Amino acid sequence: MQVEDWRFLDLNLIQLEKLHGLEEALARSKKFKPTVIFWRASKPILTMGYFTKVEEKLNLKKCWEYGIKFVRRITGGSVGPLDPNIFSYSLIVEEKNPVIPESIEESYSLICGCLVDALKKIGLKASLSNLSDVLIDGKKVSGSAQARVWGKIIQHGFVYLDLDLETFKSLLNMEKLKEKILSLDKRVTWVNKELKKIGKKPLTFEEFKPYVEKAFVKNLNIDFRDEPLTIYERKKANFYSKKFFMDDWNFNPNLHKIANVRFSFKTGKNLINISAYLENKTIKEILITSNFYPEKFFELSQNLKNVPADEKSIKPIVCKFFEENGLNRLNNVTVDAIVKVIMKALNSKQ
Amino acid sequence: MSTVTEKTLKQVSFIVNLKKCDVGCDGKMMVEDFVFPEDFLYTTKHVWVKVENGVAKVGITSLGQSLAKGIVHVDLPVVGQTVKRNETVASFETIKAVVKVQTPFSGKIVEVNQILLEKPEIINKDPYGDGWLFKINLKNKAEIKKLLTAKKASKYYEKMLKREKEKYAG
Repeated sequence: MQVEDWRFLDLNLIQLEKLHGLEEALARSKKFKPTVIFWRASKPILTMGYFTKVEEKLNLKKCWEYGIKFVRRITGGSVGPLDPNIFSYSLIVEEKNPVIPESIEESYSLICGCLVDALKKIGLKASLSNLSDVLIDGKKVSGSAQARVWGKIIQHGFVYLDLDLETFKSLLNMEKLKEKILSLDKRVTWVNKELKKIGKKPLTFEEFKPYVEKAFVKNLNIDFRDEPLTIYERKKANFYSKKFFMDDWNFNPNLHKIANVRFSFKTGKNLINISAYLENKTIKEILITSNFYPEKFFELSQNLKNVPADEKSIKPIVCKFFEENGLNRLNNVTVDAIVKVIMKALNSKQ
Repeated sequence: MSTVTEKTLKQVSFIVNLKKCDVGCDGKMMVEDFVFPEDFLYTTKHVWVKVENGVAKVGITSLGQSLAKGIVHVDLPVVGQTVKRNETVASFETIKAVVKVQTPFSGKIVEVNQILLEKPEIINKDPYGDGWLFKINLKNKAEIKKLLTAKKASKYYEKMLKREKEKYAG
């Protein structure tokens, strides 16, 4: 088979939201070239699968307390941590490309096999398990997820070089995931922990990268060609990244799809964002997020579903919520002011 | 190319063990074990369409659901939503991949198969029947001409499966 030239982008540190925007921009592009991106999240962040239910999987209070955001990806799977010590990759290729199998299982096997080989090269006994996970001694060290959209396969994944497992555990919903969280120590490992066990020096992102690069080139029988992003591509990537910064996408992609209210209110340092879907003058879905008391606003949103979109109906619910929580005001914002913001948002319906 | 193991070959044998595209005993077009009913139309993205009285019912083909295997979540469009041809309107999550479904028509979504939200596995069990995804009111009937008949679709997918076979042959 002829060796294909694939585009290679070494992005190093990047905001997760921008990375997903770039993946989408490239996958939607008409002038498409098969592309592999090596990257790492510029700060600690949680990545979650397209169908993940935020409230079930995460301890939202802790996420807000630690200032750790969560971003919904378009691919499947569950919740995982990303940070600058986690090697990440993205691969975007046409579904018809002769290199990658049409079968989901086989495409995982081929691509994740590259990660297995890279880990073997650095002296670790890695193996492929459970379709898309890579294990060392039965413990997960790498995971990948895939989407098939716009005629392309988008696959991205990670290899834990180092991992702050305790922080990650504290961000998960202990009430609903107790057993899973408690068993994480037994089920997860990271490269530098395993290298230490066999008396080898730890590896940085830069040091690990060439092993993965070589494995991709060899196993996929491709050549990598460095081709930086064009100004047009950067512009498109910024455009498509907007979605991944939006609370309604990250909390509830269905609301993101149907929202006919999107409103931001800023006073001083306080910011309130409201997304809602109104039908027949009733609030069918609503999400209120803020940079102060986020958990309270989130709870309040739950109480406003299926309520008529008028002040007479909304004000008593907001007042009752504040009373029950023993609050007069939030960050100097009064109950009346919050009701006014909600009404202003609902009246802005498109 | 990476080495393809014996296990790998066994796993995919269900799609590469090709027979000639043929007409099944009940008059349905077949590619291997995958049915392409004659009264349906098809896209090249594993989507089937049945048009009746200006409304198209849309679903995933038998081959498409088979490649996807166990479907665990479904996301459907909203009734009343106006969509453009090739717009991504639905998606489903399978064994760790999200597959997006593009609408073959422009128009208005008039009904979605709500039961799939609770029981997405119905798509695997009955792709041409209870596993339908959504119904769309056609805006531009000329778009029907862009679809494949069962005969053309089975030829197309036969070629696709053959290409897969060649990939595994190295």
